[in-house]
Amino acid sequence: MITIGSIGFLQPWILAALAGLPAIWWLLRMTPPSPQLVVFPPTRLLKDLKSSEETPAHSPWWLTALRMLLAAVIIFALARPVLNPDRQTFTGGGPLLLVIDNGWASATHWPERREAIEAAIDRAGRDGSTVVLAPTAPGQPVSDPLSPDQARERVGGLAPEPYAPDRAALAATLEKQLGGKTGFSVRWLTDGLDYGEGDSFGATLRKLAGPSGSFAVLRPEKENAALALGQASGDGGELTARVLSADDGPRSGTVKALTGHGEPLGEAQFSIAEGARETATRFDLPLEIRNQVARIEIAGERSTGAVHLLDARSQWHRVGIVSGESREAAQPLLSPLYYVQRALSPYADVVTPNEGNVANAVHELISQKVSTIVLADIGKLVVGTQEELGAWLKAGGVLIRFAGPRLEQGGDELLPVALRRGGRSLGGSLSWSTPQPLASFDEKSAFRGLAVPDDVKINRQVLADPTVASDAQVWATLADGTPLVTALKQGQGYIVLFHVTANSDWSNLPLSGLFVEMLRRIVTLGPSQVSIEGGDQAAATMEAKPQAQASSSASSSGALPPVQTLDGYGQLGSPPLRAAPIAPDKLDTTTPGPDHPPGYYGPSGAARAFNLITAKTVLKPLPKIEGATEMGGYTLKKPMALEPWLYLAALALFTADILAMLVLSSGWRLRRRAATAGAVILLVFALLPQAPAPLWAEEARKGATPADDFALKASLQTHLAYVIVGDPEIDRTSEEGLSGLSKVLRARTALEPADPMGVDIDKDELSFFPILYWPVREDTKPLSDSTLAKIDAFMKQGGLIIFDTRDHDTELTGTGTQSKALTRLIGQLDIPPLEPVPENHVLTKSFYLMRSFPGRFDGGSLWVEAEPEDEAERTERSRRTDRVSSIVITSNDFAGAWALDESNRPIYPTVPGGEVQREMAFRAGVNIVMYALTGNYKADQVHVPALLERLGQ
Amino acid sequence: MSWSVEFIPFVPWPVFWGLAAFGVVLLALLLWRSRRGAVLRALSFALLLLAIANPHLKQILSG
Repeated sequence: MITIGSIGFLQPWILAALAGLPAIWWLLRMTPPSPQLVVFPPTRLLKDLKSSEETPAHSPWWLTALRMLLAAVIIFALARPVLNPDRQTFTGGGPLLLVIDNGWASATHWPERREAIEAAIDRAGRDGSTVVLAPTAPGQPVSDPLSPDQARERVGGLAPEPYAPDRAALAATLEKQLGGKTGFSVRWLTDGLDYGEGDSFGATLRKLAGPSGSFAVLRPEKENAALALGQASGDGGELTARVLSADDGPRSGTVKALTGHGEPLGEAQFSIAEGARETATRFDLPLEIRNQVARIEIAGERSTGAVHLLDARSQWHRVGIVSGESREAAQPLLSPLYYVQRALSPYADVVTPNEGNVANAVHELISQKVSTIVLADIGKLVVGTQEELGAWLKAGGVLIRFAGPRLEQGGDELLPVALRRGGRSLGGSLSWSTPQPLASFDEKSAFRGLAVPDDVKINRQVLADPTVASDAQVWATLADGTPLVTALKQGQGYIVLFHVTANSDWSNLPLSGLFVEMLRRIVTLGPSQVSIEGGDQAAATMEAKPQAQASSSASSSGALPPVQTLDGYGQLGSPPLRAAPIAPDKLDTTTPGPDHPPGYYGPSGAARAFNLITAKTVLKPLPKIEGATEMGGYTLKKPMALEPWLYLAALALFTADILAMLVLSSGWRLRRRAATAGAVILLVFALLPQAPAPLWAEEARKGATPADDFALKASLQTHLAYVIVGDPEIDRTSEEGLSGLSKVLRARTALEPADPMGVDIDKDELSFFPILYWPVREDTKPLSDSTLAKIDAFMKQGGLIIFDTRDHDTELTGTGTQSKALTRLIGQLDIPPLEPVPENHVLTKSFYLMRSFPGRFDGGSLWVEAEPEDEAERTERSRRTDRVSSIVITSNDFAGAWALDESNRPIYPTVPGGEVQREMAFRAGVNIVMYALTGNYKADQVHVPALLERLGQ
Repeated sequence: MSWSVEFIPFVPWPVFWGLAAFGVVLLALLLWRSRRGAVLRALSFALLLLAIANPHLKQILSG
């Protein structure tokens, strides 16, 4: 088999036939198409002559090319080409030395690696050579030369380990075990990572291969390069994760946050930019949920490196708070612990003992295993409590104390510094000093890195006694250098003293966001739980565990025993036998290995996470190994036979040849016809995709009908509406009138109507409008049944129609032409009894208090639905419409009075006249609109004083 | 012991027969026009189709 690029030929000798192509070309020239036929009458004479067959000298060049191509394709097909042939083969007859990287980075694609290992062993079996297996994970032995069957068995027990391989150690072992021998076929199945010894290890392997052996390296493909999840930080209330890649980006994926039981809590996307090998991603989780995250992992990766464990330090702490005085429920803002509680409750489980007695309260808190106790302004603790707290501190508790008037009178032993009697007042009427701001935090402070707001001012504080030496640390100072927060380490724990009160009496620190951050920092100093055993013997408890054999001895030396460890695939399980405890202070510096696999270490209640990838970890891709053949990746592309496609192509070419023969031989006429047909077909194909497109676009645009446009316009804003009666002058007046009224409404009321809309009463939907203004035309025609039904529905569903006869008729039942017109218009409607607006009707007080409702004319009365006196008589309609009259009839020509021109000047004069009448007309309009929109509540509103008075009695 | 030929075509049978039918129509046209080389073409077309039909020689071991 020979290979060219990624194509191999199973029968390469057939390719020799390609040399025969020129011969074919020569042959092909012999059989050109027939010459053109032209009718030439005198030829008839020639028919009688004897003629010998003539062959034309040339066939068209493209036909020759077509046939040559056909021949070549058939030759290639016969040579049986294969795409991506199996190339896991190698030469070299020496024993096979299989160096297998089985650190964490090879876990995700372990099955592919297994296949590659087995393929290599199979090959060795066929060659009859022995196999030496050399896994690179630390502590795994190099095998003796094995038969392929033994090797296969041995490989079955090989698994990725949850730590980095130790190639330097393997190089030493190989040199010791196989030293001096050469001629190995060396296969190094790498994980693609350089741990700093890639080159020297490569050199060792090259030496083992020697001049007679071979040396090949397999490395993962770029898209299969190992991904690792770096240090997750929980600072600033967010959870962020660092994603590292062994090879250059772009890579993208998802990081998942899980609880300790594996329930998913959140996901974050990450994408590593082109050329970069690292990125950070942030989880958007509420704090309560963030606190439950125990494990972050990269979705789709199955390695220890892609898992990051979070320990109790980033989880909830239990904080107990005790104050000297009973908490005032009625004045919570003055309570000494209100701000502490508010600051801590999002980050910690705040426990408040039900005990007024401080000694009992502290005892209760310690028995609840709190890790932090906050004491606000407690001067002197009783001796027993002091001893109990001292033991608790030694076990890791954090005691936060706040100053106050009581502490100012003298403290006890449990303070980081001795206090001077009497405090220091800054600012105030009898003082030269001014309230002091905070100085920024120095590097030794627990608060380092927190931003100090300018507006935090301290008015009063307790002072350390300068005459008493103390090894307390100063965590925060005022701008003038006076300590504000002092701390003292006691055993495993801390005593922290704020020299101010926990409420806003002495400073505004508790009101600032800084206070929250400071308390958080302090609380995270402690473990999540602290418990003490017995009186004096204080030590962190180890909850009795089955595997406590090691831990009991470890607890005496303070080392943290492994509780649960990760296996090579990133799954938590019980620790392997070899796993040994780690001293707490060495947790950050220890490198994971067989003795210390990553996982949880320490007492099960407050176990610490020990991760493979730390903040300092950088993944480096393995450089090119000198002298080694690169054998590509692990994932095998399936070989594909190209033979069928070549045969099909040959068939297609053959068909083309026959067609060409047919076309050429039948002369120009057929050719022209064929050309025309071809052109038509081409044209049809060219038009096909385009023709429907505009149709679809049209369809999409047509989706919104005019009715939809009308509905959209009418419903997006409130509009006053008028009925288009068909008389241009009346319609214009209606529009001008309503737009004048809209202006007035915008200026005076909370209603901001858009421009008025004209409504075609027959066609348009009415339900968008609360009010319809309907000027009655003299020659109006009766309405159709469907329109009447629509108007009836509109009125019954709460719409209000203002009919304006515009004829200054005082009597509704008059004999004027307009009244007749109105009767024609609505006579068939189901209209309840009407009455002129009575006194105290809501219309007279819905916005302005009014007695009459003038328009351009004065004197005509306004008719509304008569209100039944009796509750029982109230119809269904009046209930549904909130007792708003659905019809208002006037003869005063409202629109004429409301009509304003562009400069807001009235267009029509009022009769009898005067701007007072116009103002009253506008007020009438405002009242009607308000009546329609707000209903009857104004009926009561005016009586509110009276109602209140009655309630008071 | 006997021998038999088994066809495992590269394309599904219906496609194969479609191709064959198409070729037959073209060749018939060619023959009708009585162009030279029609018989030769028919022969090579048949051979190509045979190649696509991918014949395997099968040896059946009896008893």
